Amino acid sequence: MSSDPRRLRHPLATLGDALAAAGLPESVGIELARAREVLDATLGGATADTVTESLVNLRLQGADETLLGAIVQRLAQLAPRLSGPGGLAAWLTAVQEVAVHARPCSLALLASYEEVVRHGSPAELLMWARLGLRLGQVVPHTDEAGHDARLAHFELRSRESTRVLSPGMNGTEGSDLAASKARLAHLLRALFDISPALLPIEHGLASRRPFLSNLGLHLPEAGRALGGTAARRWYDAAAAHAAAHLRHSTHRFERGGLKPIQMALVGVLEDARVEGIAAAEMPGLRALWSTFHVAEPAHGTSFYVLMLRLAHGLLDPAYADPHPWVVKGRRLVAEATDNGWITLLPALLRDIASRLGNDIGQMRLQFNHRDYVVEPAYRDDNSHLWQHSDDTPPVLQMVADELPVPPRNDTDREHDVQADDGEAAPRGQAELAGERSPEAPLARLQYREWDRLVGDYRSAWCTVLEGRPAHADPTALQAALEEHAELLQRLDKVLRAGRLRERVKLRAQWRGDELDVDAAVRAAIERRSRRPPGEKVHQRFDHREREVAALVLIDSSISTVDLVASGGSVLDLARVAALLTTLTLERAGDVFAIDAFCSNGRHEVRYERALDFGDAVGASALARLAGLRSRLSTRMGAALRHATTRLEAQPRRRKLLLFITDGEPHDIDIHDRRYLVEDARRAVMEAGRRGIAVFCVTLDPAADNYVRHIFGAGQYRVLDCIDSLPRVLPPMVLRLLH
Amino acid sequence: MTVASVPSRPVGGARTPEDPLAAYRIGREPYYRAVGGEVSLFDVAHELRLPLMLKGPTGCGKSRFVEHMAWRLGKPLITLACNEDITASDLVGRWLLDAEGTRWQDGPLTLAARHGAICYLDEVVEARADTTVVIHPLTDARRMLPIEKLNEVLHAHPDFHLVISYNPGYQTVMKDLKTSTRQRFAAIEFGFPEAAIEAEIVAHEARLPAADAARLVALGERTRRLKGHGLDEGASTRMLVHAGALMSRGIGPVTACWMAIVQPMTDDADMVQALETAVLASF
Repeated sequence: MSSDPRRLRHPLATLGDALAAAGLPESVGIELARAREVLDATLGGATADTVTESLVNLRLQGADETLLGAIVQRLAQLAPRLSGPGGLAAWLTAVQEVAVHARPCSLALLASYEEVVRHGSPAELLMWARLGLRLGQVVPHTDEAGHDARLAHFELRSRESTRVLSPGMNGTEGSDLAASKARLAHLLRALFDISPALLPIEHGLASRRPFLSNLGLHLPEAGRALGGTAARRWYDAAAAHAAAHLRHSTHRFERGGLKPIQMALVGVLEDARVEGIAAAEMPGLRALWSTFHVAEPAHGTSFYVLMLRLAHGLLDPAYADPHPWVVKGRRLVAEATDNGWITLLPALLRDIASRLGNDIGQMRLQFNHRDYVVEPAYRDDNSHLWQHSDDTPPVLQMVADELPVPPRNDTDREHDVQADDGEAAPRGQAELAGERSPEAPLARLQYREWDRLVGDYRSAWCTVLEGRPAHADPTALQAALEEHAELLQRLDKVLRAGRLRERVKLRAQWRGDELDVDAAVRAAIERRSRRPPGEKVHQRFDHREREVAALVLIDSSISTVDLVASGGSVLDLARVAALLTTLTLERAGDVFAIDAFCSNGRHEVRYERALDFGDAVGASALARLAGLRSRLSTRMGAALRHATTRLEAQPRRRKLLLFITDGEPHDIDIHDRRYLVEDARRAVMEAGRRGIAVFCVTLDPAADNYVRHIFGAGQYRVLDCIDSLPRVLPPMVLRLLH
Repeated sequence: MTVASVPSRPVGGARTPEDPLAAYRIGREPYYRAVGGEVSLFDVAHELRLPLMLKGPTGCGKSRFVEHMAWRLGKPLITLACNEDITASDLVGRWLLDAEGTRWQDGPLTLAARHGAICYLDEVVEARADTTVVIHPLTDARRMLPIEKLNEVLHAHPDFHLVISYNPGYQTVMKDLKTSTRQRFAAIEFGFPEAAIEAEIVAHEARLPAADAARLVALGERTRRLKGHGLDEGASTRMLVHAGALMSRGIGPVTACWMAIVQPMTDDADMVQALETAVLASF
């Protein structure tokens, strides 16, 4: 095209000519005409030419009407952000290259670009786009995986994609969710006194904004904001905003007759309202959020931009904006909130939104609600503000099904890296080995049982079948462990304090801090009676190795299938409690085992060794632990005797049997309620005589009577939720020390 | 009552031999803002010479309260900060060697019991449980202290009153009071005062405008929500006073909180960052 000066003065006329000449569809021409105002205002008069040129090129290379229309629309929205030097050129180049080489990714690129453009120079953005294209070349073009990788890149879903834009950063320090989780949890608790679960936005869900669900707060996995401090601020802002909703957005709006424009405005006003309430209490939050509000009069007057300008104006009282609609919006809100944001009731808010929406309609501004994403990006998608009809929840159920998420290898999972000990069974084995085909026992042992009516033991009365549980998927268990990482630290601390305190007084030493008075008196007597005095007259304190062997015995009878208040079954709770306890002991240098039992009459007391003495808590141990199932009955005595035998074989100075149960002993062939209780009591006494401390953790809140009878006062604790474990562990440690 | 010896103290200026407790008397009124009925409760308990236990988190004003009460009642106050190396002789007293031979030195507990003072054992759980047992005969109806090394039975002065304090949050496996010790005491529980009162305290102690003090207290409450979730304890009133004092000397609130609250409270990087944002949000 030549540089006819007329074109600069009448861009639309020339555009029309050019479009017609290139055979461009009329709809694209209309879009261009609409965009003209913004393009002119922000990018200068020559923009339209450049754009047209690119569109014609694209058309020639086969781009269809939808894509061209989308490009023009997007450009109008992005124009304020592209106004810097080289901004437009980089954008056009990127769009062209992607449209030509990876057409299916074009729309993703268009959608993501505004995020990207926020964080890098035009050259970096172009590099980002080209890297995405390369992904498709490394993997053959036709390959589904290659396409997926590329799409993930352009949708900003892959970590690499977000890292490219932050040169010199390896992308891990505080810029992804995993690294931010702990900080955000602390922050939300401190600022808002809430602790929602912080969840990554799953890749399968194409959500472009954080969102709130019944499960918790979903945040993007890799930072949408890039770079250390900026990324931290972004996550802080996003989490604080969502938390403000959780605290203050109690009303669910009904869609009713609202148009999409009005719904978007309800979102803007509600966002402003919750931020206003939070900032009244914590003024510094306003500054935190304000950094993300950059819209200003120069950015144009499309509905998007006006909404952003209104949002900016509602958050920041110092922001000046002359646009009559923005002024009106701020005035209406100011009138409704002269006693603080808290006085803005939902009905009034809805009313203001619909009035402002009507104005937009009268100004004939366009709004494509399918394309709409909440701005600025730290704000969540506001879907939680609306009442949903009954058929909507499936999305969240899908998330629930996908949970728990497999642990990432970059967290402190040092226990997982243990090599499998060679007996790993295929995963499906738990299902294959059904109820009716019990695993072959490794050993068959007979134990006596106490008969309370006879007042004596019945010898060789119970048969214990010792085996190992089948492997099962340990994902849930690992997730639970991750969830309780903090608890584990606390347990560790309690135990370490106990460990350091194990002092022993060494008497009659050559040297020491104090005189051993008895030895000194003896020496004095010896000297006066003219015998050579002993020289070991000192005493000192020393630390002694703990030398503890502990066995956790879990009751896995059928009653443990019941659900507990904190979620999960009783057996789940027992499993996690056992695991946390042993991990704590492991850190203290003790040896430990985790076993479980259930029974089916006296001939079949099943005893399963999930974790043996000396085993590391590795992947296979977790899989076996996960393989424990709730079934059959509870014959405690025989199981206790077998556990005692196993503990006795450990060459340790102190031995502890930790028994986790959910109810009283019971078996199908016993109808006398007291029979098994008395037998279990005997078994505990036998263990005590053999130098083994037995401690019971019961999950049955009404267990006091029989548990006290079996284990003795002070030898048991009732555990109602996993978080009480720190209360349970210290007395147990005391048992070990005395 | 037998006065075996007048304990001498290694340092000390002009002290009349008539009043061995002069150094322990409190001249000026220590500032204390009553929160509930604790002042009258202490009054009555003191009248009855009922041994008292003050429970509460660190920095919530337990020690200040005892000082204030000692001043109010016009009684000398002997304070001993307990630690795990404290032995029974540190409490009761010991024989010392000097040029003329051996000389008996009363310990703080004996001193208070002999001459009639309020004896305040701060953070008593830090002392070993078997050490604490020496206070038993003083804290029941006998009100006496057998000092076997002196071969003396010391009957407590009518003014003697024993007060202990501890932080229930700190006990670990070994650090707890024996039941037999606990049951000799009546207890007053201390918590952080409610926001308005705490702001008043901070404003007074740090000489800070009320609005700034209120902000500080709000921040303090935010950190206290983290107790048990990454912090062992939230920011105490004492910490807030320190931050406030820095602010009143012209240091910016964020810097002051950073120095007096965030950094002292934790070393955990995530927690430091979270607190940093909380501080920024609060001002």
